[in-house]
Amino acid sequence: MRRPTVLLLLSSAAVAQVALEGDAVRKSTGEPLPGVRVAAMCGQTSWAATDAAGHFYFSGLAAESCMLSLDGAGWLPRNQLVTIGPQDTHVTVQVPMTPQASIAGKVVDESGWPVAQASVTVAHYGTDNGVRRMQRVRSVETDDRGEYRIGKLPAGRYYVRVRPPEGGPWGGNQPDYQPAWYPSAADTADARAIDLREGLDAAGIDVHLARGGGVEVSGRVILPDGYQPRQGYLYMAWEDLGATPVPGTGVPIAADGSFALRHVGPGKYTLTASTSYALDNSAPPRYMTTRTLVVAGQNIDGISMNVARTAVRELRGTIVCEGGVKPDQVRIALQRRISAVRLMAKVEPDGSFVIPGVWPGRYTGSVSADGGAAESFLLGGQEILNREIDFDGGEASLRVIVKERGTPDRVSGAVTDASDRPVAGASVVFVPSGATYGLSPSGTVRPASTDQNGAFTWQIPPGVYRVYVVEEPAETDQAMADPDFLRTQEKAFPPLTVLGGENPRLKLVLPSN
Amino acid sequence: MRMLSKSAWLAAAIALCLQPARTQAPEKASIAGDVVDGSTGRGISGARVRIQCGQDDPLFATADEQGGFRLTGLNFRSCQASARYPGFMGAQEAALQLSPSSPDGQVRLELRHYAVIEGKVTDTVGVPVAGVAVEALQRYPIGEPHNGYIYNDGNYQYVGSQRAVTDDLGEYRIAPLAAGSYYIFVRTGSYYASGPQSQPFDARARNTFYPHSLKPSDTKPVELAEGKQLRADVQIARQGGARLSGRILGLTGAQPGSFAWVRIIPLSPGGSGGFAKVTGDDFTAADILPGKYILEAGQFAADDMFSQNPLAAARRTVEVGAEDAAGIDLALAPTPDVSGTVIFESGCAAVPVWIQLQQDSYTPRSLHVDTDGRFVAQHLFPGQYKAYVQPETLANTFAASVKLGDTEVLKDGFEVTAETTGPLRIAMSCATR
Repeated sequence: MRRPTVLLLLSSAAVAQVALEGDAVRKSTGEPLPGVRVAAMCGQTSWAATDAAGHFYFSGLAAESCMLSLDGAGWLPRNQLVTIGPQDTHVTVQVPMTPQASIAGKVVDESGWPVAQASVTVAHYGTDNGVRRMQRVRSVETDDRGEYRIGKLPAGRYYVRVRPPEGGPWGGNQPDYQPAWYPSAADTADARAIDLREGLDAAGIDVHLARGGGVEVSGRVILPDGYQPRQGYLYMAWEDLGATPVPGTGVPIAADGSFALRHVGPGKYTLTASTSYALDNSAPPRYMTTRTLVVAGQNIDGISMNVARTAVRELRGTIVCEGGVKPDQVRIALQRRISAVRLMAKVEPDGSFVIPGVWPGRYTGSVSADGGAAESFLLGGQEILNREIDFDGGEASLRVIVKERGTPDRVSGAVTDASDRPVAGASVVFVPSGATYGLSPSGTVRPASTDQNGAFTWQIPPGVYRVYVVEEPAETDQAMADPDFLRTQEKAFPPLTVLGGENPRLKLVLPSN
Repeated sequence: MRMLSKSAWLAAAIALCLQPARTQAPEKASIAGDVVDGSTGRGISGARVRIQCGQDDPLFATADEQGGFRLTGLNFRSCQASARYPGFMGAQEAALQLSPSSPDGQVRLELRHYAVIEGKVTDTVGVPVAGVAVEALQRYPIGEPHNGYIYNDGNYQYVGSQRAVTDDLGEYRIAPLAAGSYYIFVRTGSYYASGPQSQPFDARARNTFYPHSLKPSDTKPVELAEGKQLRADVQIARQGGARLSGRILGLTGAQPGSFAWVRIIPLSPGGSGGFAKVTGDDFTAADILPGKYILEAGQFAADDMFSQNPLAAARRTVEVGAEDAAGIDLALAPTPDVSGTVIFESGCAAVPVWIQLQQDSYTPRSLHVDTDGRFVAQHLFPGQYKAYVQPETLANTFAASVKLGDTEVLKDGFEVTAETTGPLRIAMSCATR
């Protein structure tokens, strides 16, 4: 039932109160969707749920725009920007929703028995700093029956990876079981793809874990003379899903320094011997050493790890500013990958800076500047800007180059389909010419959203951009990693040159499927 | 010399023949036993048995129709035997010491059926809620030592047993559970698995006890018998609260780039904690439930991303009722540096030590102290602390005393105020405890 519009006339200083109502509908058929939770973020957040006719209603809103956020069981979450004009007292919108896909199955051991508390990850190929690699979408744990379910997935191609519970189904410290890709592959290359159509519930994606296997990695940690650590540990972090290091279980180092890791599966690892209680705490351990290791099909023995007093460096560098950017507008940080410690630089007005307390490990560099864009961040001559590198603890100088970025300019436009109907709730992605879209992009501008009329307004710095429109925002990352999608869009939308001052209004007509 | 009679010779010969031959020491050991259903005593056919001896690769056996098993050819070692079977609680462990004098281990492994609680979590309008944590809590009197404390209503503590996360349909399943009474508790603040574009957090959605209560005293526990499965659907309770607002005094003229936050720490059962919104010197916190709270303000340097070293702090206890409360001022004072020394009793070698200063609800402050024994814990938040000290080496030393000034604080901890400077004196002993 539609409710009457309520118009409250307040004093001229007050913002007009607006009623916002709408319908959640199935995108493909227009069928109304009951039981969808709706959040209206208009300065403050109000909540409602759609009724049996798929209808929702908010009143007394005072804002120039609202972001509606819709979610319900069986549907992909959906955001919809709503623009409220100065004369509007009552705004009506229709929010199309897409059925979710899901993956469900069971994790079993070599006897077909359920494996509880296994970590199940759904992954897909995406682009990270221009490199195509496997990325985690979401993870869950199996229940006591070994069962799992991961929903809220947009259509696409996925892979399922299972990490056995610590110590395998039997618990304990010595893991007998290897991680596996669906259905039972040790290597990513042998993982079987699961192609999900919109709304498809893919059941029976069962993963079989095998006992044993892997190789033995052994060696000795050489401790400083006279130093017997109370607790010495050897940790292995493996590069899971191509990039993300996963802290492994700590293995005690024997009194004579020897260690042996068994059933180590293929992959790239970082071995850290440390006297710390945790692999990578927020403070450097007293003694440590780190090395990388690639495990294939053979046992690896005789690894020697010479533990030394942790070298904690004060790294010094200079900022080169091009244009009107001042050094005190620049923020520089080194981010440790595993522990999420962020070491910030102290910047002087003359452009010199120092980052104290840097100890060996893997870091990503980040630079932000008011009115500027980072061009480069070199650590010992190696580029570290939005990129991971291993810092070995040695002397190294830093150098940051920042260029002035022009004032962001307003770009506005509208997205329509081939029949000239407005496309609401779409993502409009601007990628600087020569850059690549990524999850941690250096140059990608955050996507704009189209409102209920298919219109968008966005602030981006002057430059040349490629423009892409993704109708289902939940699919943005996958779409932007799909060469076919990119090719089609690049054919439809020529490069956009954003100039200072007024830019012509864009009309983006989606290519027909 | 007296001669033996014929009969005596014969007896001696028979005795020699009857005497068992000297046995050779066994070279290998064995373990045999039964896997039984603990509630019926019947053997569990097909149960799997795992024997782990030292660091050897584990050995496995499958129980026969009567639940019996036997593993031979084991080395003489300390072994752990465990068994499992679907539907029964996780592997029960038994320790065995196999040696040449005791080569045949016998073990009886009892497994018990586990119970299950499952259900659906919905919001106030009946929409399933994905990605919230659901916990099965057990109630114990205050003061009993238990790990995993979750909730305290003044008379009882509620301790976490198992937890699950709702799936995209709002469904959860908690297992394996032992028979007993459980309070089902949904944490609304833990939306972390709902989807690619999760909705904003609804500050009025409260942590809820099954079926729809803010407090455990308003509800009844789920009674679970061994091996049973029960359903417990929870509807999240939604309730508004008071608005708190005030000012952080002393921020003016602060160092450029520094930032501040205000934390709300509930002292009353079921209180709603979190962070206030800070704009300039002003702070506001909406929807705070009635109860007693500590409001704590901290000011941090721009580069202190993890808010670990407050430059200045303030702390104030407030009683929140049903009405909004304005004008709550928090006056910042510089945070103190507490210095100290570690000394070793006569006869104990000085070794590096590791000190953890643990304040309730904060990440502990870690200090590595060299053999000179001097340390300074900088920029401590005011509050109640306990010091945990241990040597970083294998040295057999322990903290026998921790004194703040002349007061012994090892057991009960100590309070840090803006005026506290120490000294904190830690005495390490190497005597037998």
